[in-house]
Amino acid sequence: MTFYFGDILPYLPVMLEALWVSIYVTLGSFFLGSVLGVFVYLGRDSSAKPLRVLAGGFIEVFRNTPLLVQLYLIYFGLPEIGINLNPLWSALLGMTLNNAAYTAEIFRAGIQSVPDGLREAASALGMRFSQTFRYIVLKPAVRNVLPSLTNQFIVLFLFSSVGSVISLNELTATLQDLNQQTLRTLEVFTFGAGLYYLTSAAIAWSSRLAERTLFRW
Amino acid sequence: MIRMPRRSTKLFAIAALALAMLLAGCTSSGSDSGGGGTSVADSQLNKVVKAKKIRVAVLPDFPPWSVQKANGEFEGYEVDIAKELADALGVELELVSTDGDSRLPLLKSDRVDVNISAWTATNERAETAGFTIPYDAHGAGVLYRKEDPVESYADLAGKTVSVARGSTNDTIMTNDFPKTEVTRFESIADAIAALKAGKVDACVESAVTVRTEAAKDSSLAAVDAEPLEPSLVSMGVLPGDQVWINYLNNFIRNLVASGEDQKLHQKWLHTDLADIVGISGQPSNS
Repeated sequence: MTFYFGDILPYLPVMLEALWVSIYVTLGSFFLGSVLGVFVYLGRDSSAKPLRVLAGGFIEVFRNTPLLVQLYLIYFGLPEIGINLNPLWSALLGMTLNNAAYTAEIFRAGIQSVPDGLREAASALGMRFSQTFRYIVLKPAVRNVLPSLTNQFIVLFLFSSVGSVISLNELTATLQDLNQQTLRTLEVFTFGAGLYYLTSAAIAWSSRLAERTLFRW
Repeated sequence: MIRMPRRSTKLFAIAALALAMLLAGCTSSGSDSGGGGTSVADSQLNKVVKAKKIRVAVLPDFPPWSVQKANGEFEGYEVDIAKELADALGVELELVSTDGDSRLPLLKSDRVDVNISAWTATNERAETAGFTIPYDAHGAGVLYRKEDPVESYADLAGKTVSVARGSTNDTIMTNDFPKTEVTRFESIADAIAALKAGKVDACVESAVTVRTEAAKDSSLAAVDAEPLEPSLVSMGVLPGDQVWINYLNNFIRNLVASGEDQKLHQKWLHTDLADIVGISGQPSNS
């Protein structure tokens, strides 16, 4: 077995450009999805039953179906009811909703891990619920689940490869195109795996850095 | 930070060592497959006869050439050719599903013996794969929505077009239609679904597929013109295995000369075999 990377090196700029697409789709959907996830959690834990049912149903639907199928339905299915999104917006929408369902559950674990004493102290000081949640509960909760969130971030980044089925030109789609052009299957995908690995490793490293700096007390 | 206790470090080292040995074992046993020697003993022909089984790569989504039915079985023109080949060799037939991108990797990783997967033998591909003489010829057609018509091939300039990734149609559009935006999908079904959902202006697929789809769905129509870039379809094997290529060439010559190829072509595609594939006799009807 021989490895020859000479054929694929000229395509490095194309691969890096595609990697950037993967990264910004992931960044966008992770942050939008995480913010949405906080609200989904609040809905699920709320005292109003309709909200609880709605948020619970949302989580169950998006956690119990594959992202691939969700993307198919958003990209090929929504046009039937007049919503025609391009591949980028379809992927962003699908990954955001998917991520919201997962992070809502992660936040639930984090918020439940915050001692009741903190909440009681806050209300004794006369803070309203929204103030307590924002200034007292959220930060230690996020800190407690930061490793889980990092994990979810990396999983979402690797999941972005599924975007290739709805013709989003992210890294995996580009690797498949290069494979077809050069027929250097092993080299193309080894190189691509390296790019995915380095990016994921950078995400994990940034998370550890954030743990040491942003969430210190 | 949690310090790892000594014992778990040791356990980890043992696991890593075991994994390394496993990987080394895999590569050394796999290294003799692939290259494709020229002697009779090394040939895939010999392996097929010895194993009493031929593994043929076919497309699961390319009716009427080859399609996988809901019950998992394959049927179509190329599937019938694969059956003829297995009969000729007197071996069992195993059909393996492939897509445009996986044809060569399946051969290299020794998962199939031959591709009968609507593989167009282009000069570029012939640098890395071994091709037989053609058993069929076909060209591309253009499918569009009636509400948004495409009048001619020249009309494709400035439009978006869906293709199956890695297909000849992908290459045709990329190379010869620089003003057309090409959108690539994993399968032919997805490329057509994208057209129906209004994601693209047209879909470029094999002329027969385009005709079949236009007949099936009244909202779609095909550009009325001669097929685009007619091309020769060959069986594909590992490069360098001349013994195996010789056998398959001979098989295809007999398939064409006996009229069997023409008969199957009529049965599935309802058209005559292209003249360029070869002069055929009358089918014996036996």
